[in-house]
Amino acid sequence: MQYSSVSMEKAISEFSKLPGIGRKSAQRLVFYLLKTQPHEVRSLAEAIIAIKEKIIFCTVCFNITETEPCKICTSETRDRSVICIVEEANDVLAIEKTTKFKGLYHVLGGALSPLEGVGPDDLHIRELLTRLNGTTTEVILATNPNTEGEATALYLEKLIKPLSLKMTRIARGLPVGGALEYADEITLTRALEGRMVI
Amino acid sequence: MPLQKTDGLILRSIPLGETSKILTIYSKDFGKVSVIAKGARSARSRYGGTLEILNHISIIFYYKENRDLHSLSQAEIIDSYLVIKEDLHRTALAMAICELTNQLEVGQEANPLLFRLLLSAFKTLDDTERQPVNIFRAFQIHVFDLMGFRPDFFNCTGCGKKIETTCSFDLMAGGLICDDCLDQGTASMRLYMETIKMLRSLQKTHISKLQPSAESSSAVQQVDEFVRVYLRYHVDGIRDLKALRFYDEIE
Ligand SMILES: [Zn+2]
Ligand SMILES: [Zn+2]
Repeated sequence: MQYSSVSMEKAISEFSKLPGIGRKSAQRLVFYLLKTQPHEVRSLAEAIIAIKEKIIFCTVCFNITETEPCKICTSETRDRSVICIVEEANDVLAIEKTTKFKGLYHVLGGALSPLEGVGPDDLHIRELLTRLNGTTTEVILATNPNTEGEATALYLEKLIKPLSLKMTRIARGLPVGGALEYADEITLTRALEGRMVI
Repeated sequence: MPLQKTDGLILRSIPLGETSKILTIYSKDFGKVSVIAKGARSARSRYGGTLEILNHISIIFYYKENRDLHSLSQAEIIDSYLVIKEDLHRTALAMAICELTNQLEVGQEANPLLFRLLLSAFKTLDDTERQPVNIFRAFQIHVFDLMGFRPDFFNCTGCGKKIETTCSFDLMAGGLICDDCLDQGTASMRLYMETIKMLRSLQKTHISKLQPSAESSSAVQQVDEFVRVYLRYHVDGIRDLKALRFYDEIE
C-alpha cells in the first residue's frame, strides 16, 4: 500500500535500500521513529551523516578512522614489527576485542574472488608490499577460513615469501563450544593441521 | 514441497542477508539447481566448511516445482578437494570450470555425462601428480561433445579427405575443411597442423590420462583461441571467464 504522506513514503523507500531490510521492516522502523522523541531522531540522523562526513580510511592500514593516520598506526605502545592482514575493517574490530594482539593491521578491503572478478588490483595489496620494507619482521595472515580467504592467503604467501619475513596463518578449525562428531571434514583437517604441542 | 536427495558440485555462492547464502550447484539428478542455505555464513553454522565453493556435497533439499530457488535442508561433504584449494593455479582453473558450467544453459535437467566430466576434471585437478594446465582445455573440448557440437578434427567436412596439413576450420559445419573445398564466405579459422594434432589428442584422451603438452606456445595459444571462438559460435551469451583472467594474472 502507498501512504498519503510523501515523507513517509520517502523514508520507507530509503530504509528498504539497506541490506536485509524489506519494505515490511522499513515500515516498522519508520513507525518506530514516528513515535520517538525528536532529539533521539536527530541524534540518529547526525550519526548517519557523520558516517560519510567524518569517517575516512587510514592511508597506511586502510582501517576506518577519523584521524589520519589512524590511532593504531600512530600509537606509541603498539608493536610495529608485526602486521596482521585482514579482509575488512570489521575484522580489526573483532581482533581488537580480544585485546591479545598488540601489533599493527593491514586491511585488504576484501578477498580475492576470481569468480566475482575481484583480483589483486582491487585489494590494498600493493600498499601492503610498500609497507613491508621497513620495521616489519612478522606478518600474520588472518583472512577468512573460506575458499576466497584461503586463495588470498596463498597469493599473499607467494608475494611475501621472497622478503624472508616470519609469516604465520591464524589457526583454523573447531569452534569453541562445538562438538568433534559434528565437524565436517575440511574443518577437522584444518584443525589437525593446526594442532599444537602441549 | 517434497524433500529430494542428490549430490553435486558447488559452482557459486552468493551472500544473502546477514548470515545466509545462495548456492548454485551442478547436481547429478537435477542439473543446475540453486538453493538457499539459511544461516550458512554465521560462525556457529552447523554446516561448517561444508558449503564452500568447489566442494562436492550430498544434499537434501525442499524441491519447489517450477521455481528457480529451492531450500537446503541438510548437506554433507563427499570431497572437498584440498589439493586444489591449497594451490592457487588449481583453484583458478577449478573456478574457471565452475564459471563455464554455470554459463552453459543446461537448465534443470540432469546431464549425467556432464556431471561425470565435471567430477573427473576436479579429481584430476586434485592430484598433485597431474599437471593442471591442460585439464581446463580438455574439459572445454569434451563439453563440445556433450552439448552436441563435437568438432571433427580428422577429415575435411567437404570432401572427406584425411587432413594432414595446416588448413581451416569451418565453424558452422563443425569440422576441418581443406583448401580445395574452402569457400571464401565461410566463417572459418586457420589452424596449424600442430594445433590440429593437439586438439585431436585432447579430444580423444580421457581427462584423467592427460599428459603435459610438448607443443609450441603458438600452438597452445591457437588451441585456446579456437576453443574460445568455437564455444561462442555455438553457445549464445558466453562471457569471458573472470577466473581465467585471474589465472593469467598469477601466471
Ligand atoms: Zn592505520
Ligand atoms: Zn575437402
